[in-house]
Amino acid sequence: MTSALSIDTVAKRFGGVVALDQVCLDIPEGTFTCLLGPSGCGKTTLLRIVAGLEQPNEGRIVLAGTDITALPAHKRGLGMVFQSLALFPHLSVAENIGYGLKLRGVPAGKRKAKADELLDLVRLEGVAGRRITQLSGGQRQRVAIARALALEPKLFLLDEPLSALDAKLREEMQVELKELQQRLGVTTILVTHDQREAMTMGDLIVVMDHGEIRQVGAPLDVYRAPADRFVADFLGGANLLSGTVADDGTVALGDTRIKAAHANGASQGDTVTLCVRAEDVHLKLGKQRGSNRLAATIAFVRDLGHVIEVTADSSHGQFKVLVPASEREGLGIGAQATLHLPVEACRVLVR
Amino acid sequence: MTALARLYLFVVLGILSAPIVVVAGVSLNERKSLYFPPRGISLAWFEQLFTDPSWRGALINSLTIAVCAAVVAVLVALPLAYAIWRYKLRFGALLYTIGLAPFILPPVVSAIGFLSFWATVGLYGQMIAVILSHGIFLTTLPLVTITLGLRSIDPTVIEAAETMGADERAVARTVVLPLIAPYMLSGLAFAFVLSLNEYIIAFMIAGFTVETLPVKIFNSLRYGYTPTMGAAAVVFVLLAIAVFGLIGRFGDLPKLLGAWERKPD
Amino acid sequence: MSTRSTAPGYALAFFPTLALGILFLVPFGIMATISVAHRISGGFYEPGFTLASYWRFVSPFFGNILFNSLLLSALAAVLAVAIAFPFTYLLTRQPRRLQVPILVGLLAVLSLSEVIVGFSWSTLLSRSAGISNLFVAIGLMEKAQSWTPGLYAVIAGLTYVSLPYATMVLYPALSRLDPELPEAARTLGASPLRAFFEVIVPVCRKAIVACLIMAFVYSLGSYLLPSLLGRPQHWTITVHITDQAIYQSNLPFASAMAVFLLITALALVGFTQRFLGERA
Repeated sequence: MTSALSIDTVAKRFGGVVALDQVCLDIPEGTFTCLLGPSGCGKTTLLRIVAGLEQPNEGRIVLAGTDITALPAHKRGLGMVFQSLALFPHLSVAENIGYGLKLRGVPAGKRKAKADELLDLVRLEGVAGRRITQLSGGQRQRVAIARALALEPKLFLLDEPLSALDAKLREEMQVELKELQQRLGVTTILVTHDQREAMTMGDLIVVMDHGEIRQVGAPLDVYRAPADRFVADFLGGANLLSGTVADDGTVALGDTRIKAAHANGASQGDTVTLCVRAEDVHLKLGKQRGSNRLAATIAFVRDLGHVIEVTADSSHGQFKVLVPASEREGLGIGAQATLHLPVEACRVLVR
Repeated sequence: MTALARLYLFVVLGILSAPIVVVAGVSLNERKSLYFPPRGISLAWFEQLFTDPSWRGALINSLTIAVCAAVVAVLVALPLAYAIWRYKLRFGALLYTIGLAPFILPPVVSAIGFLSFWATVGLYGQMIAVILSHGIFLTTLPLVTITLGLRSIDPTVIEAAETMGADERAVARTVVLPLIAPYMLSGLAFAFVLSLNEYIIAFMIAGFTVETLPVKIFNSLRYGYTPTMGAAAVVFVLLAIAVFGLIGRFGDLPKLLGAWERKPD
Repeated sequence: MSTRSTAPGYALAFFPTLALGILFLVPFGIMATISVAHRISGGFYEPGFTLASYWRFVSPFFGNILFNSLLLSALAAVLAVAIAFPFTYLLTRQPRRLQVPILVGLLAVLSLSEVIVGFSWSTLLSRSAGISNLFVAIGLMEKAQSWTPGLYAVIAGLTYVSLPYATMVLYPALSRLDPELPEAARTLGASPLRAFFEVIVPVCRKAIVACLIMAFVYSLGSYLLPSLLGRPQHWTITVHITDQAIYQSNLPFASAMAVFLLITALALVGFTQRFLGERA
């Protein structure tokens, strides 16, 4: 695959604060990339630099082989959906969508046809003549998407566009947006702080923190094999335990030794993090002997419907364990249990 | 809302409108004397205001000056407010304060300043001097309303326009100007009404050559009171109510006067 | 946004700045120059440097006028704010559809020419058309009488013009006041009146002081009311400035007084903005 967009050692400082620290990223043609991270990690700054709304202090932005770093936003020809949506309150729906075309001198008839076509694409019919204030939140969302696609951009940028919607509508829109992107095949970058949203939509997830990229990969790869403690923690659902690598290659948590299948190149004496996902831990009531097993007491039980989340205290820290709903019986606060950490589910994280 | 509070509101509103009510009553007197309540009802004094050459002339002078001065005020305020807002000028705050100053200082100070200036330049007594002085004096009003309008624009709306290919000029023409148009009109209207009513500057610069309606009323006071003055006052009050009423009807008056933006209903 | 040069901004701001500079700042410069010019008796003035106008101004005669002028304005400001504060508070608690017409009325009164206000008040306080006729009608007085010209008439007039002004100055602060504040006081057992005096007034004390100063500067600037409703001994500094400039043709003396008034107003407004401003 060719690179649609190359971000080449881009750095950005605001006063003394480093927003982006020498970021490099290649985005393949036609992919849906999610920039994921907590607020203040630099993901929005990176998107705004790509859009030309912010100028980097160092580095280059290369779009389809052309250096566009010095090109102002209005000459880049990208489509962008803003967090606030930024719809023009003084224009109608069709005028909003046709705005960019009008600037390019496209005649009114063609603009109208294009607006109808796009409204059809985002499944929003019969509102072309309405004012923005007459639309619901979900409708505005679709208008903003249609407007950003009107110029048939080489790059489609979305800055947390779904954050204002309620949970149910947000999930529907995630699926719809992903389908739309696949149909059009447009290279897309979406900024989000919601890991579920990134997992749902992204072909590629870019996890960022403190102005740096921590990991790039396909959603399941990043989830299954987090590169470091931050990524594992941010994606959620992981039990993270600090330990040291012992002489036999196991991870020593105090006097307990845990064998891990994925050593990630850690060597003896290193301080490491042992990572094991909540759904991979097996919980059995009562005491059980054996390797990779820890004694624990149940501290809290949360019924999530399809699954039960058990919080269990062990002498090495607190664990979250997901138990199938069918195994509900006997799971009471204060009950003794044994946690089994399967070898193949245990990962050693060096950072 | 307790009855006491409501009573207080109405009493103050009553005091505020009392002189206007009296003047309106006086303007209806049948004979050339001031009685309240009026003795006999007649609209003759209103008629005189529009037909008597000297009253009519003053009215026309006032309207001409007010229209031109309001336009001057907006022409000064608009580029200043836009430049300060859009380009975040280093001296923006200072320029803004200078723009506010004419309206906050006692008008007589500005009046003496203008008087000495026009006397020095040689335009003392000319209508153009009154127009320009009022324009500068009242530029504060459109400056405040336009700045308010600019600040209420969501900055990402501008960025959205940029990503769709709008350059500086196109952003200003297709996004900013349409969005601040109501604020510009409000500023224009405020300046118009206040210029219409302004006395001391008009009097000092051209009080004996270009008589505006307030100057005319004051000059006539010395020769005795006539109901025509009442008629002129009523016309001015109605004009002000009409202009501000239009702003209140089509614009967001509480916001213009400094309340938070209206919550979406 | 950081890429944008500020050059077009300065180009845009050039014309308005020039206009304000020439038509607003230069006149003050000329005024200051004239205030130290030599006065030629019965005529105009010739350039020079003398502080004679300023000396005359601090003489006992004008010192007395100045003191009276400040006292009158201060009194009017206090009265206006005392009436305006509860009024504005109640106004901001009204539903919007009621607020808008009241605001329209307030703006109309505020913009009303001082000439008209002066004329109205002298009519209102006169014998033939005044309010005393009303009192006679309801039996409060035996005979209609004239209350103008007089000191009380001047105070009433100045308070009247300062009232809508004070309301407009207080309006932003009061309309942004958290409506739950008095409600919280009420749930804690305060009567509405107590909540007003013990919660709302203290919370707004900065706005009240700022409003007092602004109303004071505003009523200092009134020219017509003291001259229409008062006798010469009630004339304020503004009236004397106009009198000297127009009727006595003593522009240097008028300018000296205007410079003094300018500095006083600037200092007061500057103080208000610097120490009592709500936000930048």
